[in-house]
Amino acid sequence: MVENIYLNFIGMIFESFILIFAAVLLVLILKKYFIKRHNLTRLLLLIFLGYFLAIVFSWLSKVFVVTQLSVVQDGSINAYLYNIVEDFRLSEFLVTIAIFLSYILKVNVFEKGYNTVQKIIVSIYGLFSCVYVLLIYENNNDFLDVFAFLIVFIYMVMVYAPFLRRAIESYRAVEEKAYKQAFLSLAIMSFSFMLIFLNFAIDRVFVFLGGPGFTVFYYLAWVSAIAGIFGAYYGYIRPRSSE
Amino acid sequence: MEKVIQDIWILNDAGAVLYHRVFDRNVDDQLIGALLSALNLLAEELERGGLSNFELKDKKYIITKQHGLSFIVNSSKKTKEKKVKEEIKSIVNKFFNLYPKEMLDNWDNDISVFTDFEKHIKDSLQDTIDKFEKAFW
Repeated sequence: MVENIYLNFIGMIFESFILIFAAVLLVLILKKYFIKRHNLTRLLLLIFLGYFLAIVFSWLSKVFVVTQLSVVQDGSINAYLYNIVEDFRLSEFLVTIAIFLSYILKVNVFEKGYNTVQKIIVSIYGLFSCVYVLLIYENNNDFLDVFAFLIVFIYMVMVYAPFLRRAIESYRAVEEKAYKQAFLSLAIMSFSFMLIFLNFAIDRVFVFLGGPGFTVFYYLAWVSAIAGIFGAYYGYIRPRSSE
Repeated sequence: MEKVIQDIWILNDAGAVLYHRVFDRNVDDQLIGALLSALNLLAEELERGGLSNFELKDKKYIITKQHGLSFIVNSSKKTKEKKVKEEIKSIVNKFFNLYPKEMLDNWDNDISVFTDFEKHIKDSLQDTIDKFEKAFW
């Protein structure tokens, strides 16, 4: 029990730093939105708001453990809300929404239009992911949690792997140095985002096998998040148009 | 950010310009006319689908001929030739997809039918960069 509180405390401190980085990025995107007033900037703002809230709820789950705040598991709505925060499910839901919005952003910036089949698959899988992470839940069932992380990881790959490919293609094709760096940063961002949930899923496998969690993969997940945040900053915020 | 391909002219064997997109509007029209006639003559020497290129001042010109039409494009000398060739190939394919040979054979000399081509040939990289510039950069 003491070990669990200690591990959660370390996690809480670590996630506090991530939260600060994410908050700064969110403010910068908001600032950018007020300058550009463009639909795609607003979409980016919503995406990172989703990611930011996901981090907030993840951080909150550590706070619950550290402060030993708990609820009676009486099947009430309060117990359900507590559980979905504590077991990362609410964060996974917010990430799923952010991934779906990322798909819309990706099509709008890199493609000439939607591929109907792809759009249906991404929408249905996103819906499935939302239903799973919010409803297929049982308190203390680590097996279901591993699957929840895997489902979100697969969704990340479905959207961010093509994003990565497009960013690399643009990086190779563009000649202007500032834009080259921006596309490379976006490639790093998308790769890092995919690694976050892969690492979380691996960490959860260790929990399922009886470990206390907070393995090196937990920290690698958040290191990937930091890389993703910096990638987003250098890809979306930092470049200045020459026009 | 420079376009891969700057100016585009599509001419038939008779020398009529079916479509053109001029990037630098300050260029003298007469000069363009003379240049195009010379280029079209050069294009006649090309085999179907062949490519020829030359440099003039600060620009590089590439000519290709397919189904009796000459596609003449120019780009900055700094732009990699491979990229220009990929882009011209894509333009030619898009043109014949939109305006099949059968339609061109029965063309009534009304060039307005080709005005829509503009929106189909915005190169994809430039399109992406334009969107990034408008929304983020």
